[in-house]
Order: sequence, then structure tokens, then C-alpha cells
Amino acid sequence: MRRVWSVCALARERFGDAALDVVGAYASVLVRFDPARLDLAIALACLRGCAQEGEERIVLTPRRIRVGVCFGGEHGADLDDTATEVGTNAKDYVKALCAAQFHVAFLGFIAGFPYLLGLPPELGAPRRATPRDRVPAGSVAVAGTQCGIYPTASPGGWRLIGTTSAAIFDPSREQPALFAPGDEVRFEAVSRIGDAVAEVAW
Amino acid sequence: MNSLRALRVLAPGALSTVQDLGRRDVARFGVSPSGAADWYSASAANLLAGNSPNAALVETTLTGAEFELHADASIAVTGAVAALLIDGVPAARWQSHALRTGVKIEIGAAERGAHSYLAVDGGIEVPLVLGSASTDVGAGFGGYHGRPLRAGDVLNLAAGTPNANPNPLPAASTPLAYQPETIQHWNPSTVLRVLPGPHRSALSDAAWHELFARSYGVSSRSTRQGLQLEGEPLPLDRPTDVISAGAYAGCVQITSAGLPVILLAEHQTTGGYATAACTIAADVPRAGQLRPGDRVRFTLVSRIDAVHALAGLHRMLASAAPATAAELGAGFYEGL
Repeated sequence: MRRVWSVCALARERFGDAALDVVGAYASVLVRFDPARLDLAIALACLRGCAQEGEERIVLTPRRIRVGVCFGGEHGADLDDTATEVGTNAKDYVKALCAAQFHVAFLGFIAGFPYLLGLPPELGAPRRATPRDRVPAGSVAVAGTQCGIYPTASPGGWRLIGTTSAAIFDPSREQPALFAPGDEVRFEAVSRIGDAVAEVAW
Repeated sequence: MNSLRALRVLAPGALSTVQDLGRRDVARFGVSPSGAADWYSASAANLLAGNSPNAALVETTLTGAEFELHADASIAVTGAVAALLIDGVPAARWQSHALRTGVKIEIGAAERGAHSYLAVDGGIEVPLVLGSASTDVGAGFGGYHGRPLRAGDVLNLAAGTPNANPNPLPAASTPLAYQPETIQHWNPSTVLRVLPGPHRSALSDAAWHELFARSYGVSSRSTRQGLQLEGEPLPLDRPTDVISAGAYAGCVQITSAGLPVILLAEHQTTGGYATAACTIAADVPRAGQLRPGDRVRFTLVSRIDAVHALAGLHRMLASAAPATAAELGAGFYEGL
């Protein structure tokens, strides 16, 4: 994962304005560019260079983000079933989830949605057979080995474990997304939804 | 005398939004580029109206839409094949019209293609969100208050360029117009040129061959995010789920049901289906203009063909407004 972040940073630096966008995911980097402004062969050579050097250059100083979450009940409709399915109970499931350290792999799916790596394998459960038409904003959800937080209400098939009231995405902010690739994330159980906020430390 | 420059929405039709050529460098926020579904027609309308190709304009969808102009201004309508009436009088599309304040602009229901573009000189003035005037309908931001237009909305117009607002109006002005060969007609049966995609190997050689042998229908579930295609599923001998990877307008993804999906302007930034092929940039406008019921086939071309096809579209765009195009320089189009 570090290699993707590093290649993205290099590509953004070297392509500069010639790149329309640099899209990092789990194991790939996509550079969008206009071939009328940048020769295809030059772009490919530049990207290959980024891919090679990206292995050596680790340029990230990750931020630490603590996310307060109300788990279960009305705030996490699938917690009980999911805990039972993986052979534990809601309390221990939440305890294990809050002990885990996650990393933001990349943002995608919907604006501001962080794909979080680091879900302990014993907490993983497949996505719901029938997706929900509307997953509420702030839902903390798991699917397979993945974990994520819905910034805005959206259809979705992940299992809803908890809810945060942290502002995950606001396009009017200078930094519209709370999360960025490489961030370290931990969850903290809180009992009141009003306390379910996020704290960022560098 | 131009203190009030505005465009009033009388009837927005099925879906009208404010768009430009989309957002750049926002994938890291998980934000879609959005922008006009058909960048060629949008750029053409803007150039005709005396704007940069990236100026904010109105994109309509399928059904008719009506607007009232509150400015002396040049306008142009491009995109779908549809009637254009100015104060009830038929007028040419793909041509600039110097209009007086108070006229009514009616865009008829699309006969071919899906989206019409209405550009007004100066461009529509909305706050830029993440560097663009485009409406992201799904995320609910950008454009006019982050939402599709409604009847009664009043869109402010930025001050026009002096040359684009000729005086006296309108007889002395020479309209800008595209020659017939540069105008797109959106055949309801389209061949999209593609390159092999990053996940070509998710298809067997037999399935890859079938992708080009078959024709597909455009499903009514299609949106600005993407076109769902219907037809006989491809024979899959391996899963088409891949580790989520970056996506872009024109991606031809193969679902686990074996049917292609073509991503359009408001696509998600990453996706988990195999991108078996990618539509060349020059044909993304044609994908964007496909409508439910249209037929699509794919044909494989080379990278060089793709670059030449794009350069050809750029030349065609510049042909109607050489002065503006020259001012913007080579490769003026920035929103691919």
C-alpha cells in the first residue's frame, strides 16, 4: 500500500498540471492526462519512472485520526447479527474493532468514503445479500476484509456496525475530505451520538 | 444596461444541470470528475457563444426544456438532435445567435442523442466547488445549489466578452457556425472505438472475441454515472471482480453477470469490476449521448488511432471559432 501512496505522490509532483488526475487504489495508480498536451510515450516513461522509484521513496508522514463511534442498536443495525455470525458477541466485537489500527488505503465509491485496511480477519463478514437502498450518513460498515465510513447517505451493501457524527466530507472546506490516503485511523466507542466526533493529530 | 444578466429556467425537462468540463485532481478525495456527458458538444456550444470550452453551461436530458434569456447575449445550442425554437421560431443548432433580452429559448425533445447544451456568452455564474462549476448530482454539490435545475431557477450570467455581445444587434453580426461535416448526428446504432483495458485478462480469449462480435442495447437504468448494457452475457470462465482500481469516463467494465457497463462523466473514482476495455477519448462524447434503446458495438483500435481521433475532434471544434481556439492554443481542451 505504501508503494501506491508513494507512486501517487511522485506522479502528482512530476506530471504537475499535465495530469488531469492521479487515482490511487489498493494496487494500482491511474494517471489521467490529455494526449494533446502531453505525448503518450513521454507520459508512459514518466509513469514507469514513478513506479520504479516509488518503491524506494516513502514520502508519507501519516496523520492519526481517532473517530468516535456509537456502536449497535439504532446506530449499527447489523452489529448483533455480524457478531453472532463470526462467533462472538456485540461487546467483544466492538472491543476488538476499537483495538485495531486501520490505514486509509484510498477514497472512492462516493465522495469522501475511506477504504480502511486493517480489519482483524476474525471480524470480517461478507456483504449483505440484499443491499440497502439507503445507508445513513456516518455509518461505520464492514464487508469482507474491508471497513469504511459512509460520508453521505447512499445505497450500500456493507454491514452497519456503528455511526459517527464526524463531518466526513464537506466540499466547501479547503480539505473537503476528513481522511486522506495513508492516515492511521482508530475507532473509539462513545455512548452519545453527539460525542461521536473525530480528532486529527499529526 | 447589462446590470441584470440571467437565464431563467421555465421548464427543466427530465434532468437539466449546470456543467463544465469537470473537476481535476479530486480523485484523492473520492470525488468524481463529473462535467458534461458529451465534452465535444459542450465545448462546441461554448466556443460558438464566445466562451472558453470549459465555461459553465446547461446540459439537458432527453425531454424538452425551456429557458428565458434576461440579457443581450450570444447563445448556442448543440448536442442531441432536437428542435430549437427562439421565441417560437425554428433556429439552427450548432450556430451562434445574437439575442435580445426577454427571448424564450425552447429545446425540443431529443430525437437522437440524449443531451443538449445551451451556452450563453460569459457563461453561467455559479460558485466553483473544488475548482469546477459542474453539478455532481449524486453527491449533491456544485452547479446550481448542488442540484438539478427546477422551473423558476434564475441562473446568473457572467459578463460576456465584448466581441461576443455585438452591437448593434442582431443584423450586423455574423453568426459562428459549424459546417455540416463537423456536426454530430448520434446514430442510434453506434460503434465505439476501444483500447484493451487494464483487466483485459479477466476475460478469456473467447469472451474477448465475443465482446466485439456482439451488439448491446442501452438499458433504461443508465444515468450520468454510466450506461448499463443489455444483451447476451459473455461466457465468463473466471470472476470479473478485481481489486478495486481507478476508473474513468469510457471504462468498459464487465459485471459478474457478463454484461458491459460504460462509465460516464459522473462515474465513481474507483471500481471493483474488471475494466476489460476503455473507450477512446474521442468516442466518449458518443457514449455520453447514448440513450435507452440505442444499440452499441465495440471495435478495437490502436493507441495511435485514438490520439489521432482526438486530434481530429479538436480540429473540428476549432473550425467554427478559429479566433477563440487560437487564443487558447494547442490542446486547449482540458477536461478529458
